[in-house]
Amino acid sequence: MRQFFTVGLNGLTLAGLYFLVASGLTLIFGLMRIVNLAHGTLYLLGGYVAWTVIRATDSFMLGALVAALLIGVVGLVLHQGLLRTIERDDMRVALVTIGVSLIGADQMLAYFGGVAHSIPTPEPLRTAVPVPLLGINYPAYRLTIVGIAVAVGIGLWLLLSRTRFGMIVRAGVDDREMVSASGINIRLVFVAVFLLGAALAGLSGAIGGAAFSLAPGVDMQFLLFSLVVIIVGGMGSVGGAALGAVLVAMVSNYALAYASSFAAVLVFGLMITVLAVRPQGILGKVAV
Amino acid sequence: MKTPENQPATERPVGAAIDDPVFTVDGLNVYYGRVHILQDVTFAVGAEPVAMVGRNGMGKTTLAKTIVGLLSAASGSVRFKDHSLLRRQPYQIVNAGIGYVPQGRRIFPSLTTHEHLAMVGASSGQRWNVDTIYDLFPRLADRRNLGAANLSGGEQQMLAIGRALLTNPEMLVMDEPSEGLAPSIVELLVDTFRTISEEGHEIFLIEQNLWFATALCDRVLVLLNGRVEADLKAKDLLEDEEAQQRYLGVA
Amino acid sequence: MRLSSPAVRWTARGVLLAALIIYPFVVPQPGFWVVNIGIKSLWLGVMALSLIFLYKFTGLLSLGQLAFWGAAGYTIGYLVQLQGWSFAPAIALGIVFGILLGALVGSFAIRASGVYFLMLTLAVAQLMYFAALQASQFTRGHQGITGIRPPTFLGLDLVSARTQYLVALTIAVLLYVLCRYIEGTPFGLALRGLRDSPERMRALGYNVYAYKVVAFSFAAFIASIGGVLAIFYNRQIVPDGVGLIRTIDVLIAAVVGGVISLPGAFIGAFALTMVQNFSQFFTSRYLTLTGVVFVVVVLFFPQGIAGLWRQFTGYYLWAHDRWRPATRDAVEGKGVGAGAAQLSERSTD
Repeated sequence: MRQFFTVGLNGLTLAGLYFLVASGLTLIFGLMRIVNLAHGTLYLLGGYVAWTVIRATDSFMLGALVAALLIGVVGLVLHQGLLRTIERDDMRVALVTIGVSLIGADQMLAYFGGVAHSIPTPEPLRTAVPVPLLGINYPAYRLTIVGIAVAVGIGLWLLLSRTRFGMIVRAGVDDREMVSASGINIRLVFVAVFLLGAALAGLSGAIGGAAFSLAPGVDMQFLLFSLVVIIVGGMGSVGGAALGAVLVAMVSNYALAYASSFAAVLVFGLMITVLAVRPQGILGKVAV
Repeated sequence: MKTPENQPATERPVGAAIDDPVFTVDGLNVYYGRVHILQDVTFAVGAEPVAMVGRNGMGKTTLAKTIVGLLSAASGSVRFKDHSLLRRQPYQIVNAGIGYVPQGRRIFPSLTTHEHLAMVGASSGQRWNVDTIYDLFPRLADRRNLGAANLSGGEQQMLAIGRALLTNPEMLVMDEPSEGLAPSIVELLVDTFRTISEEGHEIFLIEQNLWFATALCDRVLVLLNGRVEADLKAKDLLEDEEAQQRYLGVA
Repeated sequence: MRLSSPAVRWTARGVLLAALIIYPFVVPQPGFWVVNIGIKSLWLGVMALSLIFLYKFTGLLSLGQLAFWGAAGYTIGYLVQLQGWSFAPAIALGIVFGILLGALVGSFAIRASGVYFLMLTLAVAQLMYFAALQASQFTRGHQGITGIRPPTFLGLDLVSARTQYLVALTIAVLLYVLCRYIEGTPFGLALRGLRDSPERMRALGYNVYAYKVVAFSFAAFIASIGGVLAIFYNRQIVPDGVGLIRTIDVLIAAVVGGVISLPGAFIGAFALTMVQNFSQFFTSRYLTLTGVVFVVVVLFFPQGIAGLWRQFTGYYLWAHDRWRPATRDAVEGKGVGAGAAQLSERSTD
C-alpha cells in the first residue's frame, strides 16, 4: 500500500511537470495554431541554464528565474526570427520547429555533454515530510513541485478568465482577425503568449532538473509527453492540459511500477482510447 | 454602352469629387487569385452617411475587408483624413479612426457580453465606454454575464456595433448590420445610427436591405460586378423600380 | 526530338537503371560507396517513399512511419535472434505486424488532419521508441537486438555488399513502380479525389474513412519493407533506430526530395546520406548541419530538390504575373502545407 501511494505521489509530481510544460504548448497552439515541436528543447535548455546559474551562484531561486526569463527570450527569438514569416502555414511552422529541436539537441550535447546533470534541490526542501491521510513520508521538494503546478494552473486560469489580456487571448483563439479589427495589436499578444509559454517551459526545466536528471533525450521525452497530454486533454485548453497531465503521468507511472515493460504501450492505449471516444480530446472544443 | 435611356437619374457622375471628402477610395483593385474582385473602385464619403448596395457576390464584403486591412489590395489607395489605410494592419486602421462592424457579426463565442466590451479597452472618459454602450443598448446590460454565443441575432448585432463603437471611431464601416434581424430591431438600428451620424461620425454602410440603406442614407452607391456602377440619391433609387431590378434584383 | 517525349524519357530511365545496376561493380571502396551510401540511400528512400506516398495521395504528412519500420524490425529481430526462427517466416510476420499496427494507428489518426495528424503520428513513433526501451524481454532494452546475420535467400547471400545492394535496389524499384502503378488505378484516382474534394467523393458514395485507412496501411506496408532492408543493413535493431533523430532523417529525406514527388524520396535520401557521410569528415556536429539544411529547405525551398526547377520557373511566372490562381493545381505545385495558407484567405462575399 505504501508503494502504491508513493507511486501515486510520484505520478502527481510528474503530472505537475507535464502540466507546466504542456500548458505553454497548448496556449501557444490555441492562440496561434503553432505547434512548437521545439518545446521539449526549451525545457531541457531551461534546465541546463538553471544548472549553470545555480552552480555559479548557489541560488536556486536565481537559477529558476534566469532560466524562465532567458528561455522566454529564446522562444521569442524563435518566433520572431524563424516562424513569423511562415506563420500562416502551420505545417511548415511545425517542420521548422522539428529542425530546431534537432539543432538544439545536438548543440546541447556539444555544450553540456552526454552525462546526466542534476540540479541540487534547495536546502530547506531536502527532507521528507509526512503526508497527511496517506501515512507515508514524501520528499518536500516533490510536493513543492505539485504546489507550484497548482499555483501556476490557478494563475493561468485567473489570467485567462479575469484579465483584459485573458479576454483578448480567448477572443484571439476564436477569431484573431476580428481582434485586430477591434483595434488591438494581436501581434503583441502573440509575442506575449509565446514568451509566456516558452518561459513556462524554461521554468519547468529548472524545477524538473532538481527532481529528475537533465540529459540528452530528456527534451524528446518532454516533447512527447506534452504532446500526448494535449492530445488527450484537448488542444488549446489549459484545463485539458491539467487533466491530460494527471491521466498520462498516472498511467505511465503506475505502469512503470507494476508492468514496466508496457508503460509506453499503456500510454499509447490511453491515447487511442481517448481519441476513439473523443477525437478532439477530453476538453477539446472541436476536432482540429 | 451606357445610354441615357437606361440610366436612372444620377446625382453625380461616378467617382466625381464631393465637397467635403473625409474618406476616399481611389482606383482600388483587389484580386482573389486571378479573379478580379474589385475593379478600379473609386468613391468618397463626406459628412453625410453613404450606403453601398448591390447583390451578393458583387464584392461588397471584399471592399469592407480591404478598407479595414483584412484583405490586401493590388493597387489603388484608401485614405481617411491624413492617413493612408492600405498595407496597414487592421488594428492600425482602427486606431486611425475606422470602426468596423463585420458581416455575420463575428462575435467571440468564448466571451461573455461584458467581456466583449471590456476587451476593447475604452477608458471611462471617452465618448464611448462600456457604460455608454449599455445606455445605448440596455438589452446588452441585461445580458452582460451571458455567453455571447447565447445571445439572439439582434443582440449579437448590437454587441458587434458596441464593440466597434468602443474603439471610439470617427467613421463607422458597417457590413450588412441588418442581416437576419427582425424589422423592429432594424428600426432601432436606423435611429441609433442617425444619432451617431448627427454626433459627427462618418458612416459607410454596406447593405442589401434597401429600406435600411435609404432610411439612413440620402446617398447610395451601387456596386455591380466589382465596379461602382452608380452614385444615386436615395429617393431616386426608391422611385426607380427598373434600377432596383437591375442593381439589386428586387422589384 | 523533344526532351519530354516518351522515347527520351524511357531511354533516360533505362540509362539510370543500368547505371544503378553497374554502380556497385565500378565504385572504389565498396564498403563505403555500396554500403554506407548505396544501401543506406535505398532503405532510407523506401521510408521516404512511404511518407511521400501518404502525403501525395491523402495530403497527410506523417512522422510515424518509423513506428512500422520498428514494428517489422523488432519482430524479425526477436523471432530470429531470440527465438531461433528462420528468416522467411519471421520477415513475413514482421511485415504483417507492421501493416496491422498501421491499420490500428490509421484507424484513429486518419480522422485528424494537417498539423494535428503530424503531432499524433510523432507521438506514436516516440511511444514506439519508449516501448522499445522498456519491453526489454522482447527488445533487449537499451542494448537492442544485435548481431543479426543477413541470411541467404534463393542462393543470394545478403552478407555480400553487392548482392544486398542489388536486392535492395530491386525491392526499391518494385515499390516505386507499384506506387506509380497505383496512381493510375481506380483506387489511386479515388484517393486523389478524396484528397482534393472529400465532400464530393462522400456524396458520390465513397467511404472516405476506409479509403484513407487502406492508404495508411499501405504506407505502413512500404515502411515495414524498409524495416526489413534496414535490418540487413544495420545487422541489429536498437531503440535509437526508431528515435526522433531517425524520424527526422526520414522527414528530411522526404521534404528535401520534394514532398509530393515519388522519385524525390530517393533523391532526398541520397542527398541526406551524402551530406551526413561527408560532413563527418569536417565537423562532429553533423546533426546541427542536417538540422540547418532542413530548416533552410523548409523556409526557402518548400518544394525540395525535386521541385527546384519548378520553383525557379514558378518565381519567373510570379515575377511576371503576381496573381497566381487559387486553384487546387497551384496547391499541388507548392509543397507542404500550402493549402492552409490559402484557406485562411478565403472570404465570404
